[in-house]
Amino acid sequence: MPENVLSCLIFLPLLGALVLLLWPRPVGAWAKWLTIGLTFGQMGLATGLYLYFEKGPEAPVGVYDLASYQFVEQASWFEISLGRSGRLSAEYLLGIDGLSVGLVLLATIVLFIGAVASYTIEKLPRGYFALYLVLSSAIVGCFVALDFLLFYLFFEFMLLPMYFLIGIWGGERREYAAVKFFIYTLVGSLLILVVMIGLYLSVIDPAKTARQAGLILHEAEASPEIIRKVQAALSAKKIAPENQVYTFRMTAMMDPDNFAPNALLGKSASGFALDFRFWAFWLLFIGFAIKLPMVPFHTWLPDAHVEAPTPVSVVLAGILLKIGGYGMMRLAFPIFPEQAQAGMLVMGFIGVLSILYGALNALAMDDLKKMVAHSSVSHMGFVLLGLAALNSEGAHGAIYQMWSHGILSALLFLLVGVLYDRTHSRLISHYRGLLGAMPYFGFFVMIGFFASLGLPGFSGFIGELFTLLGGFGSAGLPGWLVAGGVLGIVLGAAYFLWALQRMFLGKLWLREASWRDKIQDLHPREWLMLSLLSLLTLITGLMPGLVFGPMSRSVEAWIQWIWGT
Amino acid sequence: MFSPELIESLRQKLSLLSPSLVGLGFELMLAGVGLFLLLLDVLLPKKPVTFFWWVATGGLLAAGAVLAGAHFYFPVEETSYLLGKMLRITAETLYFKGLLGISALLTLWMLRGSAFFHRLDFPAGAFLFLFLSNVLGLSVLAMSAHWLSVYFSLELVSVSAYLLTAFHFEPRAGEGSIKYLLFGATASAVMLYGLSFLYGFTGTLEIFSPTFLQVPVSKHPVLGLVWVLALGGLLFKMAAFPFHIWAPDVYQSAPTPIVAFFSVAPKVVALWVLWQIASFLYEIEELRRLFSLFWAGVALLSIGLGNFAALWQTHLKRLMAYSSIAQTGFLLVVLVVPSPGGFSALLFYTTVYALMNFGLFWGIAKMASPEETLDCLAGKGREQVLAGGVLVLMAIALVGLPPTAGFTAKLLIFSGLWEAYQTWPHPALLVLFIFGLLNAAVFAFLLSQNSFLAFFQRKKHQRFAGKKYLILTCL
Amino acid sequence: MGTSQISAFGWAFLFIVGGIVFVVLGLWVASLLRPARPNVEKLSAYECGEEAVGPAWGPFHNRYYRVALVFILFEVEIVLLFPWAVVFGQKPLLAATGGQWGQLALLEMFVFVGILALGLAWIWAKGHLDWVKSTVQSPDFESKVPRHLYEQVNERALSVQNKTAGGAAVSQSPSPTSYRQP
Repeated sequence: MPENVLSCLIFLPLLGALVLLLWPRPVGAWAKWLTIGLTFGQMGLATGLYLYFEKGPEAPVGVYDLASYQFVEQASWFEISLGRSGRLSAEYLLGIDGLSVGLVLLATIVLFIGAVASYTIEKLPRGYFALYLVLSSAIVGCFVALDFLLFYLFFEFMLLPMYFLIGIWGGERREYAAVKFFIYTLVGSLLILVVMIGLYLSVIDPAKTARQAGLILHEAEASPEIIRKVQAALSAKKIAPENQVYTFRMTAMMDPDNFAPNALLGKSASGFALDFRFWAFWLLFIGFAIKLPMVPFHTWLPDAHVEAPTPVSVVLAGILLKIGGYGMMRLAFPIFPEQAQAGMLVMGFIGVLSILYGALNALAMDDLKKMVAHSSVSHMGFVLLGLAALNSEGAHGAIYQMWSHGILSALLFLLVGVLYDRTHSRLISHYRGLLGAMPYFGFFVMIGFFASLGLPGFSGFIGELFTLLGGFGSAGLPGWLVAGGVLGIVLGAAYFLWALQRMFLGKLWLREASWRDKIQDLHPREWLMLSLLSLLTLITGLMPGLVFGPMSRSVEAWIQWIWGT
Repeated sequence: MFSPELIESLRQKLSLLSPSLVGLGFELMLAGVGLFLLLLDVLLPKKPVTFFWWVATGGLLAAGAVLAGAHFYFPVEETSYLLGKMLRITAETLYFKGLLGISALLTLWMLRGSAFFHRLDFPAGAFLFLFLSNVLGLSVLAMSAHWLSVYFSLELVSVSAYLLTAFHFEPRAGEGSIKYLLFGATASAVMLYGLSFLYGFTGTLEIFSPTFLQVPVSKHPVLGLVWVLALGGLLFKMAAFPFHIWAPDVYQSAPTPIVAFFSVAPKVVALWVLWQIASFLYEIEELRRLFSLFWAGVALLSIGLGNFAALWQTHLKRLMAYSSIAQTGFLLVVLVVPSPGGFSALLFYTTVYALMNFGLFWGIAKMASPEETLDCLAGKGREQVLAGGVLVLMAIALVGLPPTAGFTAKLLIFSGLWEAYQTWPHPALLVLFIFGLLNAAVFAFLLSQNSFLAFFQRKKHQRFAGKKYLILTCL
Repeated sequence: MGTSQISAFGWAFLFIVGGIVFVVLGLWVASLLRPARPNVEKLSAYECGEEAVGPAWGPFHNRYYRVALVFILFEVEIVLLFPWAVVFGQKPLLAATGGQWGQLALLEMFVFVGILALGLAWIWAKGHLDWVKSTVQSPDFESKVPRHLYEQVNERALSVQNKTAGGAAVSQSPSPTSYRQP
């Protein structure tokens, strides 16, 4: 693989967006082909990444150790002097480890599917595809950035394209949904910003500080001894403040020795009226929980999903939610491990609450898309439950559940889109006995529904199984709480099967007689998308090692890091 | 009859005069061009508006050239005093004057495209004269090193601003102008009152005189109040919290290019003066704590009041007025911690702020005509893609979302605040830090409404639903 | 100097007393010389031809302010010119600075007066000093009341006025109304 493959992943779509925006004449149908092609290229690159990613028992772990990340790209972004109080350095730092490699692949797959699903977009194509490409580069950027500022940049940058994609191309109440999405996510990211500012002003980069203090000439010369020396000098307050180089690097933030002695977020910070590490952790947690989304911060999701056009719903449910879970794994937990340990019970409770609340909501919905949206809340609850368990099974399960839900929710939203394209109605009660009229569609719906409710053999089963196993095995979560999660699976089976029964079984009946001519079975394009996703869920369900393999080492390291062993 | 010292000091003053005149080249040019415009208006009243416009623009450009020349004349590292100790010139002052000049040029450029400026009976000569006087006043204000020159230049700025507000010649413009005048007169009276106290305490009005540092506030508690009074005039020009009341009416009634200028130049220059005062006074720990809290309070209230009041506006320029009050609050955050790092944040933020605001108002001037209500933006984004795009981009930058410079500016400012909190953990700073950052969400809601309206036709009831929801979030 | 007995405020006090004496003296001498034939018109306060007493929110024409502003501007200029001449015209200072002191002051004052003059010229040229003249319009109304009846009423009113004039009851007397024939 080429050296800068991660940069290519990010900037390829951005380049396409620029071409689209600067094209002097109205864009033709080539815009959609360009988008499909670029996202396909992205997917190809990500597949290559996955294949070349070093797996196995001896693989480098990543997580807290920058040297053992793979495909690392590092360049200084800016370094400015803050005067007496030190220097500020931000880096263009990309890399992947076991936690992110699967999610990068997932992101590119879902983005490709979304691009194919966008084929029918007719309204303002130039704007749509440019925004879509910008969105896809921001999403991938989020998963590969190892510098907090860079991560934040991509994180916020997803917001605007999404806002416009929902607001311009969405359904009836799109403006309301878009503003709601925008505000909720912005509040979340502002919470993250608060913590980010606090963190980077607490954490120094030992190599750069050594260079600044004159211990070495160039930061590349920093050996482990030098770094330890700098850290010792730092905690002894022997480094002058103006020589301290603050950094946004995530791995530096995880090392408690890098915290300046007087920093509010440092380990030794005490004597303040507030426990800052406690608040910082929970602010980060809430910031990501809004994205995930967890009850009670989930109310933007049904609105946004229902009003967004089908491809945008696919991307939103397929990947954007995962960034919430990924952010917790990458940032909140390893930077504040002791807070994560202390908060296991609360997080587990929120997770189970989301599982049950989302499932009960889904049960009550007559709008098929709303039902799927609420089921997303329920399924993402499993991710949080798995993370809160803080053990190997749970963490494996959480990442697997993200992968699985990414595929399945994309599949489900596409299916809803298929129906909506034909009749412009999504209400379950408007249809009966569809199986006879659209047998292939019914077939894919069954795959989607059964996989989602956790039928063994599909990916959903593995994800839920492992998160629950983790939950039961966890020292910090009581059994009755996790049992509540199991109840969620039962409820999931109930709403999926009930919807299936109401819509597809029995004698064909449609609300409007004129719909009879409209409900043709799947087009080739829909075949392509649906079968690709169905295959993926089936393959990874049968061979979970494909997903577990690359991440195992990193997840183990992650667990060890959090428990400090 | 006269002591030899007096005569010697006179000689000295006379010898210092010619370098002073070089330092004041920009101001002299401005004054000259302004008067020349008036003369032309008397002699050639029949000339078209564009003629006057070209004279003013040419004069401003020439003055800018003189200003650029001053860069070479005054050494960068040194502080030079002009006219005794009335004014002083540093490299930073020249920078702010340059920013002022650019703002003025942008305003003139916007004026050229405005419909009201090309009306047949428009008194262009007088209008441009007043505008240049305003610029002149601000430029002197930027250099002030003496409370009297601060006061005089503020008055020059204010009087011309009152008149500029009224140039729509309609009843509402008169109302805005009169309100501006009344509040302005009050603010300047308050300031003068404070100054007289300061003079009484110290016997000098030189801003950077060490005497100010020697009067302990703990012994004279009234001194804190006196400082607030003395700073009132500057706060008034910035439309900061207790002196903000004029802003909505003036913004609503004044011509849009002038509003753009008002929302940038006086704020930036006043902030620069406040910065100088603050970083001078902060050498004393006691004053530092007092003022940190004061600025934190003013910033907090300005941000909160501006943003929340803006939520209820339906008139676009009134909304911009409230949001600019909030922006003032963000600008004032810099003053809470005047450190060298803070200064680079200040330079960066003010520059970016100026560009953002001009972009925003340019977009508004292009798109929101003629009523300038929020609803008349609807659907305009499709017709005027460039203006709409600029509007949205500037709105994003003002909210402070990455990857715009607005984000970097806010990041720098709030980083400074966090640092201050690390060295002096006072709860007010933490409240400002968190509240200020989170207020970006309210602000985003506001501007997202704008940019939204620019692009889509929207229905009334949805906006209200959004508002209710937003308030819930904030609570 | 011989002023050592008088403090700085003493001088100011002398001026105040002198001013009061000057005004009172003038009025007193005038009252001795002038014929005293007051009537209500004459005794009312002079207010530029406006009705002196009216509601608080009564309209007041803008042009009064304009003229008054211009007037005050030039009056203040005169007030400034006097001390300027005294302070900057002192020989020892002029001599000590080789005349520069005076030249500078003269130049500054020319600039100052020049700006004011330019302002005046501008106001003049733009017509802000023009007083809007009212044109007399004779109404074409023919009254049915014969002319001599009006004259009778006028005479009666005049006789009432003459009786009360000069007495203490002037202020209580009914407002003199002169009925003219339209």
